[in-house]
Amino acid sequence: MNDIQREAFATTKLATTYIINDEDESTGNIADINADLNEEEIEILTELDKLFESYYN
Amino acid sequence: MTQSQYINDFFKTYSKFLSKELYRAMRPNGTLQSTEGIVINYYGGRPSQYLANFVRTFYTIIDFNDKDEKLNNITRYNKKLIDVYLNKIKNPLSINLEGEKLTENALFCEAIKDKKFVYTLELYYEAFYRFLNHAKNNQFLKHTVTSKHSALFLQPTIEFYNALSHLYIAYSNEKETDIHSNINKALSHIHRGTLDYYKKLIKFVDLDTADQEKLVDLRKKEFLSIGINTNDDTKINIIENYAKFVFTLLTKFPNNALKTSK
Repeated sequence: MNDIQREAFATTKLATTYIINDEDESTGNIADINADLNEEEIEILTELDKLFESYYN
Repeated sequence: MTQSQYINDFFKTYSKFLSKELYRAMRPNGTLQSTEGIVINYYGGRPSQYLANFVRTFYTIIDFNDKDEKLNNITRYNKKLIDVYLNKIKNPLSINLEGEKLTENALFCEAIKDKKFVYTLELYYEAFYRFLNHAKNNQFLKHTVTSKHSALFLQPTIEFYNALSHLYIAYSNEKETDIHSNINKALSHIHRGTLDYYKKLIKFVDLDTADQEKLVDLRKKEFLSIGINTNDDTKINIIENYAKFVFTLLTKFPNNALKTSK
């Protein structure tokens, strides 16, 4: 694993990042990553982001 | 816990997710009201955050090292996340995959340590990261709202999702040839997903003449490699070359060289 890959694992924030939904290209449908997540899911994903950060640092 | 136990745990959790997801992914998003006035929520499409989380978790388990307590916590939170997700799905239909009966598969655990497989997974994650990071730094998502090039992120994530299906089948299998064959098929999806990220990024960058020539060369080599096993160095080199090319482009245009819609 190189430094970039290590950084990738350590810094990816799935709880707050963007997502592009390409299922409907005609409308260019793009949603914020949190659009379909409830508070509990965001909370757990945030915790997982922290855990991965700690694991790879 | 041993690596074999973590892998078993991972596939059991994945199986729980998949038992609902196989059906749910075929349903639309939204709320419907029946003639009796009953409101039903549908959560259609694919939950990309979950898929992306499977990517990093799977890699971390495969690249197993002595950080047992931290990996334990990751596993614990993953289970929690899947449970929350399953509770959220209103439609109760599920497909019994008997994942809870999965036993540790020593042949799979040995086969999955293949250096080229692990390396390709690393390249995939690097591409995933570059894409997300660049998207955030350059705000080009705002531009793509009105762009025809909106199909950027989900496709490579789905490729990994497809790869996971092969890995699950491989893990459920006792025949060595089937295990290797499915791991190889998984590798093909991961390879495609990695290229998807880079190709989409390239589409948004203005290329000078030298870059255009480099891209032509990359495309030619990629085309000539069709049919070659994904495990072959030629194929892996293609990803590496795309990665280098995109890295150069992003370094040259660090702020906002990304085109808006045309």
